[in-house]
Amino acid sequence: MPSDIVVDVRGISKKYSKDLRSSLRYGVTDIFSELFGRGGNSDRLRPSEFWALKNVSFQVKRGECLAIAGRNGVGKSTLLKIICGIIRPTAGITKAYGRIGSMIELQAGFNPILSGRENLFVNGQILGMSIPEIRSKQDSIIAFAELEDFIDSPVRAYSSGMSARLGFSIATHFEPDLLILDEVLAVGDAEFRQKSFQKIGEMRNTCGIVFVSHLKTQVKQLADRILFLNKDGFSIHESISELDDFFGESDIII
Amino acid sequence: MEAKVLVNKRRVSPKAHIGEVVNNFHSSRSLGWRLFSRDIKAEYRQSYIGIFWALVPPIITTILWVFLNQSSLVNVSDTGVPYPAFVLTSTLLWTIFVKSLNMPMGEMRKYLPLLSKVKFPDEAMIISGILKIYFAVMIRLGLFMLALLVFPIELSWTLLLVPLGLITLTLLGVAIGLFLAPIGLLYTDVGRIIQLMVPFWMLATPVVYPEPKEGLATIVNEYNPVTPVLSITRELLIYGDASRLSELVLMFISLTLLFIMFYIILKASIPFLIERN
Repeated sequence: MPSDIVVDVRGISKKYSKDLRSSLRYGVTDIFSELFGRGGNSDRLRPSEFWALKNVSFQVKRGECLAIAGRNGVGKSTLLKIICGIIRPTAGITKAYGRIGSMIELQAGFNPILSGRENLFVNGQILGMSIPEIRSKQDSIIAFAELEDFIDSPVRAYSSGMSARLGFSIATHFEPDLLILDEVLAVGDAEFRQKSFQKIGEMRNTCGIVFVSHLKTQVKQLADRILFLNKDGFSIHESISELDDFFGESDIII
Repeated sequence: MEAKVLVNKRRVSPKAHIGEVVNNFHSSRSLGWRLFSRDIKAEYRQSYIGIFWALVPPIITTILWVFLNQSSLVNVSDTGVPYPAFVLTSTLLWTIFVKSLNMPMGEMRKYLPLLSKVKFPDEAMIISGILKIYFAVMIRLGLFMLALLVFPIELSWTLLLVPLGLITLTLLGVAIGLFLAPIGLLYTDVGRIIQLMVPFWMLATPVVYPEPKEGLATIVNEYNPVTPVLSITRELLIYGDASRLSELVLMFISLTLLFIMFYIILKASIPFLIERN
């Protein structure tokens, strides 16, 4: 990978439709465009469409941590989903190198009827771990989630904090090259939150991190740079210490 | 070792999709099995009689048709084998087709919320769906074997060719399901039309009666793609007749190609379906 870059985002734009019927109709034309390479998903807006992201570019290297902030609806989650390859950009290109660990929703894929241990295996495999890898890490995952006494109980008996702890623990044991976090750092009680911060801090040494947060303390503690998304585009602030000058004493950035 | 690079841009060429599909079908077998076992465990864990529920629908259907036939409400010409065995075999084959037809849209609908959160090989979902169909098939085949004790049928070597018929029938249902899935996941009308059509489609297929030799039904069956696959598989299963084997092999080859083509179309559609989920 070039000079240890783990994610390279170049000129990413994404448009959506405000209207459901048009969105469905455009869906059909976009699928045809994907298959036959004509019309559809072009970089011109069709009626009722708007830009959710416009020409966003940045790079993150191994050992770096980029925070993404912005008001609701400015395209933070959309950007993360494009990096993970879940949805297509309208323009631009992203390249993610190595294993991608995405924490867009911690309990994604959990089945409430199955036990924590069964869900651990399913979720681990969905994230991309092999069976031997999960077997070798399961004790450590369970211990980190502090669920030794409940791991064989059905997940529906868990509190929301307990299942989020399990999800967080599985995802952080994945050892990714690029870690993507979407507002998932406020998991569990104060003690577990502190532990998860520490864990993410440790992971910074081995991977690049891109995370979405609205909290200044989280950004200050983890990030090297912050990318602000707004309706007209984006800006990158290299110095986190500037945050107090921008937003005063409040912990909520936006 | 060369690091894996995930490139995401506006359009991925069909050639790149083909490469990914071939690679993923091979590499996601283990995840496919895991999703299958998770779904089966979750489906039956909350039930007292568990897996035996899978036996109930084919038994009820068979009893219903045997009753209709014996009470002369429905007049079925001679099937050449005991009628209950005929119905049990034919409804088994029809069920495989219907489950295969509904599988792509059903699995996609179930997994779209997860696919919108985590990037994982969606081929695992199709592998899991096919395994679920064959799980139901194995249970029904077990029931068929039990029925043989009550209604003895002379079994022949052609039984060995039955898996080819079952796979071809699955390919037919899944291929049609895959073809309809991209539009069906955008517009709910497609799913409703399928639900409405299936009962009529069953009556237009020689499931509870033998393949007709004359009349309007012959014309209907000529254009019904399920008829030849179902009839040939039934001939292999209970009549020991392999005279139309070459027709089955030809259908198997063409349906395999259609399955691959329609899967690639669905694969290309997934990011656009996720956006609208």
